[in-house]
Amino acid sequence: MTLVTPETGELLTPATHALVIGVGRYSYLEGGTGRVVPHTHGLKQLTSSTVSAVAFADYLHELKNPRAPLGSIELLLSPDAIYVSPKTGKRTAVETATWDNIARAYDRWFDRCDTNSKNVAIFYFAGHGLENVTLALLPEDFGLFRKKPFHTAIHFNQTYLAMNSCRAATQCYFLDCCRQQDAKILANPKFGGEPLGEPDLRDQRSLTAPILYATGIGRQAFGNEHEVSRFTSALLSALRGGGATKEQARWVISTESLGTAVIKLIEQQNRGLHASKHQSASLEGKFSSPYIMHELSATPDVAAVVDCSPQNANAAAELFVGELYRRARGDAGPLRRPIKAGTYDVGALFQTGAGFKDILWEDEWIEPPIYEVCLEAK
Amino acid sequence: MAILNISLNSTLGPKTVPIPVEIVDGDLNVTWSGSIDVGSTKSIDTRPGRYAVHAFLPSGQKLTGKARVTSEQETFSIELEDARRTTADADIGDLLSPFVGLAAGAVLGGPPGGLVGAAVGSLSGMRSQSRRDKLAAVWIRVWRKYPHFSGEVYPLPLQLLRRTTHSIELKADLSDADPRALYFIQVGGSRIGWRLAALPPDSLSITIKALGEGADLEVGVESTDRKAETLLAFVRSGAVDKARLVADRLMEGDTTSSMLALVLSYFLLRIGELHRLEVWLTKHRDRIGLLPDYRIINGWQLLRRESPDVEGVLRQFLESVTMGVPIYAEGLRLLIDGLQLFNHKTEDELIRSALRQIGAFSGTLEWGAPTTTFTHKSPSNPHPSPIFGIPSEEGVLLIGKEWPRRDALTSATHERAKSLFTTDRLRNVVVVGHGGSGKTTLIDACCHTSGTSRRHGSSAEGTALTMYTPEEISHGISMNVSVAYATWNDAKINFIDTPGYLDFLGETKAGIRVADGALVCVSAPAGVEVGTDRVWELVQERHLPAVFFVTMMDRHNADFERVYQDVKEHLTPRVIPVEVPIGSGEDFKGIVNLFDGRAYYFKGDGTSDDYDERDIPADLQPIVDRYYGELIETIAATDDNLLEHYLEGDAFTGEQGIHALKQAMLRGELFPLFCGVPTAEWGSRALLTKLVELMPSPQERPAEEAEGRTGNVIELRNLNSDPFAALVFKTTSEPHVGEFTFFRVFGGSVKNGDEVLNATRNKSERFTHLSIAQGKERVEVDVLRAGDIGVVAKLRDTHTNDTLSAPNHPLVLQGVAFPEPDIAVALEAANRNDEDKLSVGLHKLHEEDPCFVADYNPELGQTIARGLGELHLEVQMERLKRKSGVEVVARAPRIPYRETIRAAAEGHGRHKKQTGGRGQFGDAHVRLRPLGRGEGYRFTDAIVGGVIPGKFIPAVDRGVQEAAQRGVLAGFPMVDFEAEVYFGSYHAVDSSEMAFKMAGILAFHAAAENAQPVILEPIMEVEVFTPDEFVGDVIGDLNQRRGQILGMEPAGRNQNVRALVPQAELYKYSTTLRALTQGRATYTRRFHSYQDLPAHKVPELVAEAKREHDQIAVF
Repeated sequence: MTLVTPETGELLTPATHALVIGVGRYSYLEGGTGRVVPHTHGLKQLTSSTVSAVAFADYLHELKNPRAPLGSIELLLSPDAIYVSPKTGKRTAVETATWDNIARAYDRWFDRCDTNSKNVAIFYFAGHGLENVTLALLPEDFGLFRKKPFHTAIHFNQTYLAMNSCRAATQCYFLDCCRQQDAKILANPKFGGEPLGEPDLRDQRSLTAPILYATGIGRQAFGNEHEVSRFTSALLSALRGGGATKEQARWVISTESLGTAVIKLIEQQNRGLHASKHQSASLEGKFSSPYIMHELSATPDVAAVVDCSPQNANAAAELFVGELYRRARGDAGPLRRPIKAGTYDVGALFQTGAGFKDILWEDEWIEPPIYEVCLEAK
Repeated sequence: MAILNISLNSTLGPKTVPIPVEIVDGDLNVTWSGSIDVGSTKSIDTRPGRYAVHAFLPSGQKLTGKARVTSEQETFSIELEDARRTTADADIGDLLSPFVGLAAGAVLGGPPGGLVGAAVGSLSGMRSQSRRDKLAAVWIRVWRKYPHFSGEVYPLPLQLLRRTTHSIELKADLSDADPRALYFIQVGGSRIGWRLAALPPDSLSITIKALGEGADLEVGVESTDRKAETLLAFVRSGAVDKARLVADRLMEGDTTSSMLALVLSYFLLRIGELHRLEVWLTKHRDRIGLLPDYRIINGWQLLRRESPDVEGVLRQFLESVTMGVPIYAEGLRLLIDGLQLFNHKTEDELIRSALRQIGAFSGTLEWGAPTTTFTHKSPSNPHPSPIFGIPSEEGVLLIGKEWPRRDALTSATHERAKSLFTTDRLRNVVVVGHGGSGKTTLIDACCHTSGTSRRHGSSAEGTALTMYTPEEISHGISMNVSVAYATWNDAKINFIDTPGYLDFLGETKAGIRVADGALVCVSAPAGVEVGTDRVWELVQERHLPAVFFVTMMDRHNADFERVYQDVKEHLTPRVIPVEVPIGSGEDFKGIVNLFDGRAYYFKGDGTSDDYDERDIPADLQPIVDRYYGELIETIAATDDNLLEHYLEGDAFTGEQGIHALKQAMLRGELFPLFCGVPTAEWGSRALLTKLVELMPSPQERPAEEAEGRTGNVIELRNLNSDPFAALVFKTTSEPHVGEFTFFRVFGGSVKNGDEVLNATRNKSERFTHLSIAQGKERVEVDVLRAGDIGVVAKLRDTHTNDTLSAPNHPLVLQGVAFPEPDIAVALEAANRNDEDKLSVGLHKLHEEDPCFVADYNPELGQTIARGLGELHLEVQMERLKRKSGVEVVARAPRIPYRETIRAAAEGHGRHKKQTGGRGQFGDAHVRLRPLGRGEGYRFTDAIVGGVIPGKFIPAVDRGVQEAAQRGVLAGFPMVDFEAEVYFGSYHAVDSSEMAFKMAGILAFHAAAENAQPVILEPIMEVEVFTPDEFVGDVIGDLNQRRGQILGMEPAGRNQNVRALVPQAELYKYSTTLRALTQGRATYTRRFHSYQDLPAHKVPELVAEAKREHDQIAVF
């Protein structure tokens, strides 16, 4: 069983249908239970991908899209797990993310998405990926056939092209995986795996189908063990408000603003990390027209950082954003916290004798996803 | 209502470029979005209130201003210069200073070969000479590639636009460019991997930046069309909404550059505006229709129609491949996606071939760059990893100083590719053979053929990849173990070059110790030589799988069959040819591969391994049949299954044969024989292929035993999961190359920056600049895996033969069994002030070469240096001068003569001093008796009745021994005698130990002079290995040296002459022997015994000893 949220209402009603895959257990890679494939490409077991996939599935219950409310989630996890719906508390034993199970879930997902052109199709994958222009997504049983390990890998590019024949005019792809290359990949003419659907040469119409990659070609994506990965964390932050813009008095998240926000949030994550751990999300795919995929019910939070320079001024300053958000004196670090989007006065108040003049910036527009300033004390 | 006039200003930047702008009200509603051209003002209807005005720059930065609209007309301006400067860029001067030849406005181009010279100084101030020596040089050139042509260097003038602290901007004018051609800029150098970047079809600005942390250069190509660049930047950053605003504005205009036409086409395709795209493509077909990108965009546009002309689309894609590579990376992605889409539906060789052709670019592409940017030395057939080096011609020196081309023309693959070779794809092959058998040249050939070396160097010209120290170049022979690698068939072959001369046998043994297989070179004219015998023994001692390679097949008297029989007879009967030469000497034309039964004729001018594949010539068929039959039968005999097939008359496949051959090699049952001409690279391609197929990976070799701290022994199988353990087999310090530690990893892996433990000395070390070696060049890598050979900046406390291991898992590997040095020379500093530097310099030499030792010998009063041969010592003296600045004078070491006695004699010694105060009294009678040779010294107490109290007897002994240190004839130590004290007397008050010691001395002298003293000289046992034809000369020479011939016996194809020769007669014997035997004989020697010096030599020696004694007395 992979369907964790049964369809509500008629299938003819436009809805959002998601296929969510999280692979942490790899039977034929190092640390797996099976015989290790001849070339592992350095890949091992993962612990953050299933956590990330579950977090994304949880988020989907928050999705508010009057034009296409949530219709279904096909969830596959390796190792297998019981999924508890955050909305209803319903417990569902989900199937493992093997190639066969994914292919069957894909068929069901495709059919649901294909019922109405106003449907929204969401594809989310967290796990290992390997790339040589063609991206191969690796399910749990990657390497089942030792002589043809990519036989049980998902050929993403062709799967994407195959989705062209699906009637859902809006499709979103979130790929939380590495896109590493190595000599083996580059030299392997059979690289790429099998597509989940049959691409049709004669049906390559234009769609709104952005692909948001966790990282660039040849690069790695990162996540702490047993925690939501950096990409999914940024994606969820963006979906929960970081990617919002206000249009006609509504805070909305569109297919285009979402990608930009995720890229910026990951850039912010990179700060303070060693260059080898930097990650840069990328947005590709087709963009026929922007599509509002989520409406926020409240004003979103903005990741705000207010700093003061020189460094010795920081500790002497009381930093503030409006009346509500303050950081007391004596703390050498910046004011760093989520702040409701809006216009605020921003500044720093120094204790008497500190040798600095108070700073006040009136009417600062604090908008998603990030507000970062450094106040120069004199 | 009110009007807000927003103007975008820039004093420096380009005008009329549309910039996306948003107006946000105080409630954060976006009230207006659009684009405003730089330098213009836009009037926007709005309401009074507070607004934020955001301008989105192509760099990704957002400029925000706050506007308060209170009246009917408000004006608000944004200054683009307020954009923050990025701090991510490193100071280019740190990496590449000093600049040369870059005065603003200087024209760098001109005819091919033109170089720009004069230095204009450093960006970062003065730097030391040594710092400058390490700086990189960067070269630039432009390629033009027509469809169907591989490309040519094009003399496109480049003009310097601007130089900042972190970037250089150049301009290339393509206004006269041929619209049918693709142009590429190529930038690289000896340390910056060569990259090609496709040029957009307009006049260009080329930006070269130093990336953060000084690691590399970013080569960016930008058009001077700022509008197109702006749109491209938004498209690539994923800011599609902003790109829409810019694109809409740009499509309003009439004047459009080729680049803008192309970028807008890509954008329209991405946002699916097919009708606009179709109109756009039709409108601009004349401008961009000759570019591959046009075909790709048009193909996809056609594919997205309601009823696509599928065949027409495929034609477009295939034509695009034929025309070359698309200019934009986006195009390459679309092309591969498109071709794969067709390939999925139709198994068509044309499509597969196109995919192969274009796929080769995809693997090397820098996807972060907008235009197609990849690694190679020319625009065709991209190389999977960057090439380093200096262009032999046509290049324009952009940055840095010109390197001596001879030294700089090396190449290596980039670290990215290095880390990709897993242990199973490594081959560690030691190349051994007699001196001058072509080992170094063969390595050069293989590396050049594989593409890891840009030039086929020459030992004679001093440009060989693995022979680069000044001593090697000046003597023209290899003296050091050295490593270079070739990449072939998805494997990395580490070639370990070794000296062929036995004077450097220690280096050879080090190379063999860390190898997993051996490539034995045998010269076609000379066949098996004495050095071949010796290295073959060493290879066999390590049980290394081995292949033979017959070099110099084009020489006048080359004879493959003779060499084959020679190897079979003298080295191993299990050698088996797998290739047959077509002709020999000047008629050598190619080889027949016995596995595939095809003839490969070499072609060209003898500088590459290109060949024509043909049928076996009829006249060679009988010979081939014979060799083939022998090969098949021999292989079949090693494998029961194959033997069964063979006996039943069934053929087995080449693959089965190779597999069986490899297994037999692993068991030491077979040794394949190849041939070729390394100077012309003939045969190197086949050799590389077979080395990958036949040589074992590190994991296929027997496990290495390592000892833990508690004495426990664990087995290392060259697995990355093993604890890290690496054996240091070479340390070197070269003034213009650096100080390095070479090691072979036998287990685990290690990363750059890791801390490791020198388990041999229990010292911590840190790996910095972890690299792999390509001759004298080093290519830094992030990680080194089990089985690989690496090099790091010299470790502080680590020397050759130490084991490096994980700090928490100390292990010690078996070291290299270096031969004991036995050839000695006495050294004196030419300048007496250099005495201190001499001992330090000698110590350093020993650290680099354990086969060289030097210490002060107090008996001889000389600093004695020992090595494996006279050439070895001579070279060490040259190194000492070069590295430590100490010039030495080499002298013959004094011979450690001895004296002894032939007869028994007695002597009386009395030491009496009793004139006032406490006296001294000692009285001893000593009898000396000769002992057998080598028995040394013995002392006997024969006192009876207590005539000498027991407490004084040891003093007598000490007196005799002290006196014996200087014999009575010439002052040499006296040995092999017994001293017996048998009588004496003492005084109750005045006797003391000192007095009896003096008595012992006097008694010894009295006795020794009457005991028929003689002088002994050291005799060495010498073994000379010489070809038959020189035996007479060798024996005659030994006789002249007072040698006593012990015998002569065959040793392989040589004769082993054994003799006892006085050490005094062997000074510089190897020089004489080389001259006598044309360098084909070798010898060993070891101490045998002391024998009497002939009587006629005694007076001469006594006189000489007296002279030296007197001199010592004077000074």
